Amino acid sequence: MDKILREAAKICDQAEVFFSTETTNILVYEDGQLKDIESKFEAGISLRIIKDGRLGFAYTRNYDTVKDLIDNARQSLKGGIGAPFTFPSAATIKELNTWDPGCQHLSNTTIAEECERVKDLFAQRTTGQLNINTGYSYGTVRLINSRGMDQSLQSSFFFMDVSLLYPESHSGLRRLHLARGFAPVPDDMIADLISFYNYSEKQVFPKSGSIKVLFLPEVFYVLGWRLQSALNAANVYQRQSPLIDKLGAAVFNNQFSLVNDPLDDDRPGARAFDDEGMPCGRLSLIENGTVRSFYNDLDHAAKLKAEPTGTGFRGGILAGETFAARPQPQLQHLEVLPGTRSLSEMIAGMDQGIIIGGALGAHSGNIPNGDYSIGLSPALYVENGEIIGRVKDAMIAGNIYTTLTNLLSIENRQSATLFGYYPAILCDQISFAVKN
Amino acid sequence: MLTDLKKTIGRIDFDYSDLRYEIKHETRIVFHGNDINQLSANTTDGYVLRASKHGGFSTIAFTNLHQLEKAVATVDENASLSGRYSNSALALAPVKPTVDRFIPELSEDPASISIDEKLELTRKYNNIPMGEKNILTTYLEYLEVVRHKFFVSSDGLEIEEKLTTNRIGGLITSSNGRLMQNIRVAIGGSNGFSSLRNQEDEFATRTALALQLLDAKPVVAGTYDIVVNQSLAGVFTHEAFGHFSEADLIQHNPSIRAKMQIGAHIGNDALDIIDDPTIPGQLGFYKYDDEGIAARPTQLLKNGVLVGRLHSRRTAIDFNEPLSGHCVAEDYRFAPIIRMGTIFIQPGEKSKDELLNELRNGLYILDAKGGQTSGENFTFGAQYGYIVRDGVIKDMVRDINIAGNLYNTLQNIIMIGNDLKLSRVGGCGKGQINIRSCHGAPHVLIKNVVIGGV
Repeated sequence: MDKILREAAKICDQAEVFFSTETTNILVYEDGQLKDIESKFEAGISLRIIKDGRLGFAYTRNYDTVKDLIDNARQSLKGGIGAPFTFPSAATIKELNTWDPGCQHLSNTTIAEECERVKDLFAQRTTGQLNINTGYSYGTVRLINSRGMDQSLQSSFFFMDVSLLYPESHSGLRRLHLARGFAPVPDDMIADLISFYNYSEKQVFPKSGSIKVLFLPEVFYVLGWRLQSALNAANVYQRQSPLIDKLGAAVFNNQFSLVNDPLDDDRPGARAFDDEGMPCGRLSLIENGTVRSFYNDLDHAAKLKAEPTGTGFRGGILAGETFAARPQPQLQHLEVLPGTRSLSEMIAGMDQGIIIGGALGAHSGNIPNGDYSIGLSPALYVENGEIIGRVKDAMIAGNIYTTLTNLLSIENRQSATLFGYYPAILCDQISFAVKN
Repeated sequence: MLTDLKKTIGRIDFDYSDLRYEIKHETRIVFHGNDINQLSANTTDGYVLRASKHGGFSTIAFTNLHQLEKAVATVDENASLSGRYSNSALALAPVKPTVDRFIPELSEDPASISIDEKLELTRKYNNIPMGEKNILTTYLEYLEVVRHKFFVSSDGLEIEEKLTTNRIGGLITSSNGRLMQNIRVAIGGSNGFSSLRNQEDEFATRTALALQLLDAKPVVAGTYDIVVNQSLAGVFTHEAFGHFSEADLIQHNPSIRAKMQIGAHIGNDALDIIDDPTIPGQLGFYKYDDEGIAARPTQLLKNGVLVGRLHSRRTAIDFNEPLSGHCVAEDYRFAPIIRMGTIFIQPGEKSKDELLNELRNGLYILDAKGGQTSGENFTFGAQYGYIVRDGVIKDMVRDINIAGNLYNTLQNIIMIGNDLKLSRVGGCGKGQINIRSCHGAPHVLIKNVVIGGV
């Protein structure tokens, strides 16, 4: 890495080298059977250079091709991509506990044995089909630049994603367990999942209309995706955000607060510096319904003449290898702050409505405008405070600026999901369409 | 390279093993509005080893041969573990030893085009929407991916294949100050750079649609009879039916598997669906999948009856059905999984106007905006549509999403058009991205569909 930086610095004004390694093991169970075990050893390097105010970018997995890497970065300057920023200099960052050394020695046998325990717990209490995706990952990141920045990180996490499927379907309910190192799945997580499933086995046939909707934590990403679009400095810069002129304005219900907190190392994946070397910090995006800040990378901070928010990250879900992606504004540590009511109290308070446990098509609405229109997979129907069954062939549609204004209550605890830590939220007056 | 790989797996002690080495070249040029965000051209490589031992099976992806020893040890341990905890021992459908090299001819190899020309072509297309007053911004990407694959197996498969895909596509966003709308645009294919030339009309047409959407009304949620165009019918075919035809998605789901037996009458008699990766020049064209199996046209539905399925070597033997050559990986980071190649509804005899006349009152819905399936349930978005009254296309509507149940909808496709069209870009995200996923259909008439408006 240091050699690459030295060589690259000879042909440009500033240079930055990002290096990442990752070892991953994943076990896949379908219908309680171990179907696949897959492992990965990945490593790669990316290089960014700035010359005459222009930005170049290249990456490789092959350490023997340093010359090609530098040549590719130099070729990339042809794009004339503006670099209105400088790479950060050395800074003191907070020390975080991101690493469980046990991960390096964790055996897949240990995980398989935990899966057998989980399978037994489910088999005793439900007939739903059990699918499990589980595994662990550990790796390193090192970031150096020609201004003296040299930050590094070791991190690890263990996950178990448990789903209970309804018959003749891949539709089901799921829960995610996340930890920095191996840890058994909590019994209350399993009990919650079984309880919801068993209540919803019967199919019911409610009518279309405007209805109360309880978004379980696993589904909040549908709304969160649109919020992230609106709060992203890149979209603000392109005037593609409905929140452009709303900093300081009360836009959402005052119960709603959205935070990005990379420093919380009780959770796996904590970060003290972002993938550009900026110190990370707790960022309040929406506080009691009021828009507090946008999130940026160095490029868009400079373009908007804003302070960098330490949220320039590479990669992301389905974004390819981390090192092969250039930094962009990203919220990788998102959470909705918990409310005051338990989930059971929220359900008991619903006269009539649906609980959404899974969404289809979250990516296909008019995201910049805040619109969503999703298939429900599944939707559980509630009458007089009780789940009486599940609904098939149904959709809801709305706009987050209306939905998060018509917010009734927020659950008093957060759950881990693939996209952040969220509580369940209950909203009113959402358009619900179901097959006649 | 194949010889080196053969020697490598020859030294490994497994019941079965295969090794894929892949060189991937990727060029990316990204415009966001008038700004260029990225211009890069990079080459990476990697290995995927799959192996079977003691009745178990496991896969590992790794970066270079220095890691081979550790990779072999990991696969060994994992395969043994898999054998211990699986209910049935691994079996693979038998193959005949095959040695082949397949490098399809391209109409202009993008490797021979300078990056400056690629940049200027992308800029030219980007300028078409950006020149319009009410176009707020664009997100337009030139993407070129070349996968040069070398595959060997311990049972005699030695395949080299080079697949090139290029496209220019993205999103055009319009705004009138009160409302933002967007429309997708995409050109490209797998037959060379020439598919990207002379496409100004496509960008102008899509720009006009983005502007028209600002005056369109949101669709009212409810249940409608609809005519859908080729793009949307193609996405339906892919999302709702196609994924159910992928044997790995139903292999370990007993209730779905019982319902999806060969011979089951699950669709309208008018409906024929095939997956054919062997059509030259189409986006989904390839000769061998990433298990080294030759792809073959696979009739899936005939007169509404399930007659075939897409398979890997593991699923074909488990279902006791023939291999189809549909086990494909995104790249060197992944084990192959079952993917559609070029799936489409085979054309009928009716014109679009005849379909609209049969519809009488309902919606005419056009162009896909992504979709997703969860077994029997599916949802997909449409980019725009029109109200149809008395068989005549009337006002434009927007914010259209469709949800449904596979079995009901297959029965409710009551009329098939004669104007088959296949997609030019793809991006199925079944755990991995398949940018060559190709789908299509003629116009079709579907009764009783749930539409979610906003």
